[in-house]
Amino acid sequence: MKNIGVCLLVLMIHATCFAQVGDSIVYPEVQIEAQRISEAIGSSVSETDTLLYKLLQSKGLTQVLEVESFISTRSYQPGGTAIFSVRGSGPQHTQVVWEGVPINDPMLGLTDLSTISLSGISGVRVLYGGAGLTNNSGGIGGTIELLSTEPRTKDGVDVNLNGYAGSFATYGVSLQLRDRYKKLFGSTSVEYQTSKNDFKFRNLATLAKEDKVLEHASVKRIGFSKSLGVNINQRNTLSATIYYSQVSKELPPSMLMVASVETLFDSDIWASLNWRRIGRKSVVSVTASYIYGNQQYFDNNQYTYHHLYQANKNLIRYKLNLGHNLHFEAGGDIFTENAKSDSSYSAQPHWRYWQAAFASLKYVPKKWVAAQVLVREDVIDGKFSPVQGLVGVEVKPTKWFSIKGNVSRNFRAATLNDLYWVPGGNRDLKNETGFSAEGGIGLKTKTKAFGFSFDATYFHSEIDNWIIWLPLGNIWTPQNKRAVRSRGIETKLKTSVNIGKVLLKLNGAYTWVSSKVTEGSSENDASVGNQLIYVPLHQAKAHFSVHLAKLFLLYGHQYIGLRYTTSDNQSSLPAYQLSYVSVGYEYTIKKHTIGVNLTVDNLFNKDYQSIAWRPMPGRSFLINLNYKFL
Amino acid sequence: MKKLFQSIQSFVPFRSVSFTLGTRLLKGHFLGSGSRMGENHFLQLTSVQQAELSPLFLKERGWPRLGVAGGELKLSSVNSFCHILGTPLLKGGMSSFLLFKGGAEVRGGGFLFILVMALFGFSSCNTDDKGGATNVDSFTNGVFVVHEGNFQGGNAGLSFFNKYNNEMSNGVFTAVNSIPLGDVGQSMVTLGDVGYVVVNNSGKVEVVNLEDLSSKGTITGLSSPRYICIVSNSTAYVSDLFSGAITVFNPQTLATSGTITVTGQIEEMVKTSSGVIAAGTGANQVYKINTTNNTLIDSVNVGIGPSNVVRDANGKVWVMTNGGFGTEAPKLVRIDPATLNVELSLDFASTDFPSSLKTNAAGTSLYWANGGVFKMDISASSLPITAFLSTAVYKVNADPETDMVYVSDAGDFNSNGKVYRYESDGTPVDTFNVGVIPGEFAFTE
Repeated sequence: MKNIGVCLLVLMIHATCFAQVGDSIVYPEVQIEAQRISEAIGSSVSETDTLLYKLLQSKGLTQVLEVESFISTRSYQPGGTAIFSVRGSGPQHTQVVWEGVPINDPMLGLTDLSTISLSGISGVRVLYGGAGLTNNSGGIGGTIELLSTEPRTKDGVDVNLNGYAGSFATYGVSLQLRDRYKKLFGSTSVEYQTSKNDFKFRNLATLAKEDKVLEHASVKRIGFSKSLGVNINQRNTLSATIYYSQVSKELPPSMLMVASVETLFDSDIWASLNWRRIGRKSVVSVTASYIYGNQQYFDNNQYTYHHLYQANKNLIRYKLNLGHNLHFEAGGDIFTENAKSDSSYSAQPHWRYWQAAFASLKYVPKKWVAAQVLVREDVIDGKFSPVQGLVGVEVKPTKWFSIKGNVSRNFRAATLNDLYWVPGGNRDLKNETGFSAEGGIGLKTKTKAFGFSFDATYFHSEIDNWIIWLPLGNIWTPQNKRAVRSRGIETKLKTSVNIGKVLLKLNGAYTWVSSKVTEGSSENDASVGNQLIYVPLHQAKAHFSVHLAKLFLLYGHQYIGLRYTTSDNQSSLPAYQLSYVSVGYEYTIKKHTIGVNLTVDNLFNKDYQSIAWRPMPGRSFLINLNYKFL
Repeated sequence: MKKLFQSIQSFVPFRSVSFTLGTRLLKGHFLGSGSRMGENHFLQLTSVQQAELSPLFLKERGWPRLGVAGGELKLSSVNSFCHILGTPLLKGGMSSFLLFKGGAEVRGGGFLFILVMALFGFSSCNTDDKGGATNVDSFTNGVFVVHEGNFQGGNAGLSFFNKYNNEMSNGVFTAVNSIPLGDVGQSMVTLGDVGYVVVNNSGKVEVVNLEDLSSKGTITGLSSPRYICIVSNSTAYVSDLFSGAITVFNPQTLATSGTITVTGQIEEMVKTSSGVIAAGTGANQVYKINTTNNTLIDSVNVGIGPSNVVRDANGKVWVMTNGGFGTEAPKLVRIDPATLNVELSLDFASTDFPSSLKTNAAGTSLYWANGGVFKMDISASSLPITAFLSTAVYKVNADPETDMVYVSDAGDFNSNGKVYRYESDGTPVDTFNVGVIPGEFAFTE
């Protein structure tokens, strides 16, 4: 019992019922629950709310993160290129991970959120600061983990079919099937979405400020995901997943640009093969994966470019319960990446060979206290990276109060574009390094009728050798010529009240992020002492929902603070607020459930800009029909 | 110059207010959250479009702390005195942009207050006199600085150095015309009292009256325009990056009359007695154009990436190439425009990145940027080894009237830049703060 109470497993384990036919023996189903030990002790981790994810899934990952996390995003248009900042860092300082595999484009070092189809993705988890070190390096700001659809635990099939239509000629359909037959399990997801994005906007660039309709802004997305697995025996599981996403988007001009006919086509393939063995005291997981990204650009000036990258990424993870309240984890990565570009690299692809190893020790002497030490080292093309590490502590002196904190060191390698771009690539670039510390408190209480949790975290990061592209004569070249200090406060509130049959929920989050340049590229660098561009000092998000049986009503509100658009902070975009409301109902007969929901975005039809001079839509509607068979 | 805006209105708390901004009459109510000195005051504007007082619009006027939200004009505080005609008006609580011109004393509700919305001329309220917005009576005697702004950032702009009072005014195009200049201000030329501003990524040429910088019109429908060459009072050419053509237009009527087909991108052009010489960066050719019938008549290869062309005092044309950014060493080449024969070809070091080739007033010296400003006599047969000016430089030019050297410094290319002025012997004169990525200069005639 004691062993069960301090079980080394980080997942809940369900032992499947086996029925013996003929000579088989029937075992009763047993459910074992283990105390979940944080992946990264002392760190902040958040996961998307189930209802919000369901409502926002059709709008894409950008909106999911915008509404449901501390991340600040900016987007050129709905469904258009979208990048983000975590804890005041740059978009290249956050790793996006799928099935444990980092998928950032090695050429740019970042992930365009708009290219990710959420087909086969059931949620998103954000690991802030050093928390991502438990899996990967490079996430100086944090790590975004795409959570794959969990397999069924019982034999049978379930179906989830969605169809939606909305403003600006937006239509989409998605289908997810999960099945299990004895030891075999799998899931299949497909998604199709198209939108013309032909919304009306006020053209602020002209004297007349006339209303115009956005042209040449359509987006079309196709997603497919297939996973297959087999429980070889009680301890061993083998699974394979393949994911495909294709986005074709027209790039509209800003209010100040001449009309153009630019199109960007992006396709990604992610494939992984995983073997996992759960022992009495240990868990081993081995993953072999293939990552492919293809990007093609066309415009009416006959200018085209074609970028292509591929990677083999192999990971091994080993967890061992050492006893005496000690939990050991170790892992290794072997990556091979290559990228080719017909516009900027030489004719041949450039390769990169990357190996890494880490070890972590967690000490959990009591249920209310835990500590962790982690060390990691990467080797890239034969050169050692800065040593990375994490030391974290969590203390829960009472049931309702907890304190946690950690210090960590991370790094980010130069991208392939930084190294090999022609002209200007700089092979002498140093790695960026990041040192972070954070501390936070948590308050939590839950009764039958009332639930409350509040978390507040203060963080402080110093990023050195920040890579910035600067002109050397006529040629731009990346240089390690900047340092940034980022500090902030993240607060999150979750409350729920049951009044009779009615459930009320209020969730909110507020962040303050001061992310300033501390060292510039020259004596006269006007960015020193100023906030990074497009990182708002203040952000707040909240949503309130009422649930009565299968009926719900939800109201959400966002405040995005002022954002500077030049590094000397002399120009800025004003703060804005957006509201959304959603109402829905589900009706269930036996195993069939039909649901409908209607969402209104930008409820008060506000004019705002996420990026300067890029129009954004006013009030819009989306109706979603859903059928589930369980 | 007709004052762009001046109006003095009386206001007391909760009384109605009206004033003019440019040619617009705006009306509102003074909310008077406080009537004492040092408190914040809110002027609520009714029937006003927020965009007209958008932060961008206001910042172009040098009002960094004036904000508009929800139709309210908020006068936010700075820790400075604001002087009106030398008299301290407010302490601590009011914005430094308040400025009085013309004068009227207003009484009402036991509270004396004078509010003037002026577009320029903040005198001692503006602690940064060099480079802040200032009154400009006329734009006919000075130097324009064309700000590229960030690509797709929409923050191109124009600054004007007024030779009458040696003051630099920023954001002058938007201040006068109430619209942003566009995306990527590339270059500007003047012809008499008219200015032509090429806005590259907006695909247009903004044409302005140099008397007051008001808009005379816009040439639109261009692909990616770069530079203008004035051929005559009735003919001008616009080069382009992507269209594969030079557009011909009438500088008086602004009507386009056709194109000259070329291969690839064209950058600078210069008029000579033998025709217009154009730098064909895309095809590695220097082109010669017959200006009588606007046709291409000859071309010569002088190296990879010819970008800059100038004419010297002897009528020769100097061409600077970029070497394909690493494919070969950049070159400085002198050609005879009559025959297109190469008379002199000088190679830079393969690690050099020279650009911004210009001449002095007399055409007897060449200037260019290359990690500093270099100067060379047109009779020289080798490149100078040491810089004429050791300074950060993006673009350089010389005043055709005074021979003063103007140097733009774009800093980190994401913030306001600087302009340095030097005497022709290299003696520094002064420095001005200007807009984002100050690039080409244009001198009034």
